[in-house]
Formats: sequence, structure tokens, C-alpha cells
Amino acid sequence: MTGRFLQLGRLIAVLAIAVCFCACVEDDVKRGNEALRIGDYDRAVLNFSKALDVQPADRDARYGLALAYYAIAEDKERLKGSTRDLWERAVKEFRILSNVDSSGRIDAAYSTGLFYLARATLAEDSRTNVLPLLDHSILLDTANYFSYNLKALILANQGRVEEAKKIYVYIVTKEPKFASAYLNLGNLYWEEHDVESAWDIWSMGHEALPKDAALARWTRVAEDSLKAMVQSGEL
Amino acid sequence: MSVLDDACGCTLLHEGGEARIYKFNSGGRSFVLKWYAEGVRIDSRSVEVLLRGRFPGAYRIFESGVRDGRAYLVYEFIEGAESDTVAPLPPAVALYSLRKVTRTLSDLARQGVHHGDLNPSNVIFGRDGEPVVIDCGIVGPGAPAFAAPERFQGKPATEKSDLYSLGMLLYCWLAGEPLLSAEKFDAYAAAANSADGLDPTTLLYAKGVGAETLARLEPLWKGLLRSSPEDRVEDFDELDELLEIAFDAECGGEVVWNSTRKAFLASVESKIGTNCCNRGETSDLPVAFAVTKRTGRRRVALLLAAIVLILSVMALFLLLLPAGNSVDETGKRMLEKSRALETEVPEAESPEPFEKMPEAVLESLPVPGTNDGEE
Repeated sequence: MTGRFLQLGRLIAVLAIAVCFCACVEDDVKRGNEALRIGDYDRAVLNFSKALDVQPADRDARYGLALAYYAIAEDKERLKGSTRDLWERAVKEFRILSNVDSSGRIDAAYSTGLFYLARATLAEDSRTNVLPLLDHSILLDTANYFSYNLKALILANQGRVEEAKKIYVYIVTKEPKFASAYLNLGNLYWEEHDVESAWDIWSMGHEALPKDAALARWTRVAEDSLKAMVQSGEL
Repeated sequence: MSVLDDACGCTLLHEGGEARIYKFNSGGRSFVLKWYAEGVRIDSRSVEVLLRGRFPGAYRIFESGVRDGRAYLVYEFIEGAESDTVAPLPPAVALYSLRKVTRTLSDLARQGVHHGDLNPSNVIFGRDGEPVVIDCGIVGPGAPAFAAPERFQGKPATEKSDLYSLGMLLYCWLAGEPLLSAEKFDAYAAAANSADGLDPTTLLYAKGVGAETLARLEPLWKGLLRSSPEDRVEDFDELDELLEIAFDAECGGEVVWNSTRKAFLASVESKIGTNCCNRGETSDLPVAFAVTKRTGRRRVALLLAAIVLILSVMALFLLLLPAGNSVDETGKRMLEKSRALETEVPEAESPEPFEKMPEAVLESLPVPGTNDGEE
């Protein structure tokens, strides 16, 4: 009987220690999250890393660390500097996180991270094939139109214009407020000297987004071109 | 908490048409579970009174209810012998015991409870030789040999009907057998209706009861064994007086009485434990009453499970609560900021009507979270 109670005591002690560990990890995660929210990303990285040292599979700590790296990279993005390494670091954390959390809650952020990484990679070397990254990004989040848009641009650059056009049409159908898709699709027609179609697309975008200066401008440019063509008898 | 929860050491005492009776232990005490047969009804008023109060000389009910559509009672186990197993009793003992039973019935009657089934099996002599009345409140005439004539007509038990039964009980204790014996229920009813014609004195004389004793008993027969309730003694108090007179004359003084009583106690002692139909072998409680017994090991397991559950809930609380509203929320906010679509793009400073769109495709990408993607 005494032995049984000793075993019971041990078990309770182990459980209590486990709960204490959870509580410690939780404190670090909480602090990391606070830091993340107020923009103290370095401190956020520190706290989340500390939590992961104790519990490498802690989902929140891992997600927090990935978000902290993401925020650091995004901050640098605004300064127009090289961000590839930073995005690689963030994406690596998301990749590890995906082994811990398969709930789908992190997929949108992971998808955006992949988009950024693809774009940062292209910025460093435009010949690098980033399509697998973008396909992975789209697979994770089919509503990530930034990845669709970049993929279409790359395809157009590779001469696969019709595929690119289809993607742009898909984007504006699904997200009529996505200005870049109108601009880029119109641009494809413009480069084909199909001014009429270019005007169609840009004016459609202008109608959907009347405050978008670029769309307004290129709609006017296309109109002027059409007028000039009429006057010159080309139309 | 039910005493049945900790039931152990169950023994089947009796199995009959009316009920199955089990003895079991719980919390260091012995109890009886009487599970009535289908259709047998018990007077809820009687049960209620006996559940609430304590009456000297009457059994104490601890629990009542219905299982599988059949009524049951749980009451204290009286360590002793059913009165018919020790009959015939010495007349003084029979009178003394009947007086005790009468007082108990009188107490119950004041609470509106009438026994309704007085017979030798429902009076138990304890180790101390004192009678204890059990099984109050049955609905129906009860044991036919002891039931008053009006009970055969479907009338409820009354003080008068119990008085008649007491007369029959007294005879049985003295003679060692019931006064009435018949094959069929109707025959019992007919015999009860002719109770005035019964001659217990002659029958007892034939069994060797002395003339003096018979003379002392005569007023009792006249006051009890009457077919018409009106012809019986007025109430239990009147009977008590008659019994007192008879006993005083019969007991033969303190020394004789003590000696008689001692012999009677020895007789009771020898009969204790003979009321078990499976000779004391352990039986199981009916399935309807089966409960999970908490053995020592189970208690430890339950305690352990409870602790684990509490700790798990705490851990889950700690782990899941922030997940719903901290890191995930921060991530959601960051993503929303990243993906905010541009609604206004600053116009290029000097548009050229026929200029070609910028070749650098990357520059035409909206930068999530900024408003300067289009240049």
C-alpha cells in the first residue's frame, strides 16, 4: 500500500513539474507576444526562443518566433534593402511550425511569407526559378492573390502570356479590388499593341477602384491613344 | 448516499411469491433489502412514517423506492429469529411479547399507520428476546390465516383489523401453529367470517395448555377473535390492559419469570441465523441494485484519475486559453496589415501619353502593407 502511495506521489510530482514547465513556457510566450504587439521584435525573438529552448514543440512559441522574423523582414522590406535572408529565416520557422500545427491556422501567414521570399529572391536574381515557392504559397492559401499576381508576371516574362492572362482574369474575378492585376493585364495587351483591350481592362479597374491613381492614369493614356488612332485613321 | 452503494456480503434470506429478501452489509451494519414482486404494493404513508421516525419495537426503514417497476425497501437487519420458529412459546412469554407488540402498534397507530399483515414471520425476536415488528403497510389482506374478515373484503388495515390479527398471532405463539388452516384463499375468508365460532381454548387444551392459563386467556379470545370489528376490544390500550392482567397472573412471580425468560432466550439464540434460504452462502444483489463498489484499489485509481483530470484541465487551460487570443490574434492582425490592398496609388509625376509600361515587373507589384508599391 505504501509503495502504491509512493508511486502515486511520484506521479503527482511529475505532473506538477510538467504543469510548472507549461506555466514557465507560457510566461515566455506571453512576454514574446507582448513584445511582438508593440513592435519590439528583437525581444519577441528572444522570449519565443527561450520558450522553445524549454519546449521545442510549443506551437505558440514557434508561431510567435516565425511572426517575429516575419515582422523583422517586413520592416526591412519597407527600407527597400535585401530581405532574402530574413524571409528565408521566417519561412524556415513556418516550415518547422507546420510540423507542429496542422490545423491550417498558420497557413495564410506561411503563404504570405513564401510570397515575400519569392519576391526577395527575384529581387536579388531575377533568373531564379521561384515558381515552386509561389505554387506552395498558393497551395497553402488559395486566396493569396499576391502570389497569383507574381506568378502571372513571371509567366508573362517567360513568354507564357496566355497563362498569365488567365491568372489575371482569375484574380480580378475573385478580388475586383486588386489593382495590380488590372494594371498588369492591361500592360500585357498594351505590349501586344492591343490598345482597345488594354483600355477595356484599365477602365474596368478604374471603375472598380476610382481612387487608384495608376489605373486612372493608364486609362487616360489608353483613351488618348485610341483617340489618336481614330484621328490617324488606324481605327 | 444510498446504503446500497457500499453493499457487500449479500445473502439471500428468503425467496417467495411476494418478495425476495436479501441481507447485506454496508458501513459496518447489516441491512435487509426487500424487493417486492411485480404488482405488490406497499402503503407509501407507512413507509414515509417509518423512514422519518423511530418507533420502539418496530423496524427502521432506511430507503425505499422502485427498481425495474418493483417496489423495494431497505431496512435494518434484526439479528434474531422469526417468531414462528421459536413457537410454541411459554404462555407468559407469549403474553409479554404480545403486549410489547401491542404497544408498538399503538405508537404507529397514533401516526396513522396500521400494520395490515401481522403474522409470526413479521415479528422477530431479537437476541434480547424482545419482539420487533417488521413489514408494515402492505396493501392487501396479508397472510390469510391471520387476516381479519374485513380485510378479505378489500378494506384497508385498521386498528381493529390489527387487533384481530394479534389474537391470531397469540394463538399461533401458544399453539405453535395457526388457528386457521385452509387450502384456498376463499376458505380462509369464510373461516375468518366465522371467527366467533372458533374455540381456541379447546384446541389449546388439547395441546396441553393448563386450565388456569386457558381461563386467563379467555377474555383475550373474546375481545380479539371476533368476525365483526365492533365486537372486538375498543383499541390497543384496552388490549394492553387485558394482556397486563393475564400476564401478571401467568408470569408466576419474578423468579419464575426470569427462569422462563432465560429458557426462552436460549431457544431464540438457537434459532438465530436459520432464516437464510441459501444457508448463508454469499449471493449477489439483484442486477437492478448492482453498484460499482469502491474497493481500496479503485479508490486510489479514482483519486489518481481525479488528480490527473484536474491537472489536465489546468494544463489545457494554460495552453489553450492564450492560443485563442494572443499569438494567433497578433498573427491575424499582422497578416491583415500585410495584405491590405492598395486603394490609392499616387499618380506618376509626368505621365507620357504613349509611353510603354515599366519593364521592371517587380516594381509593379503591390507591396503588402505599404501604399507605395506602384511606382
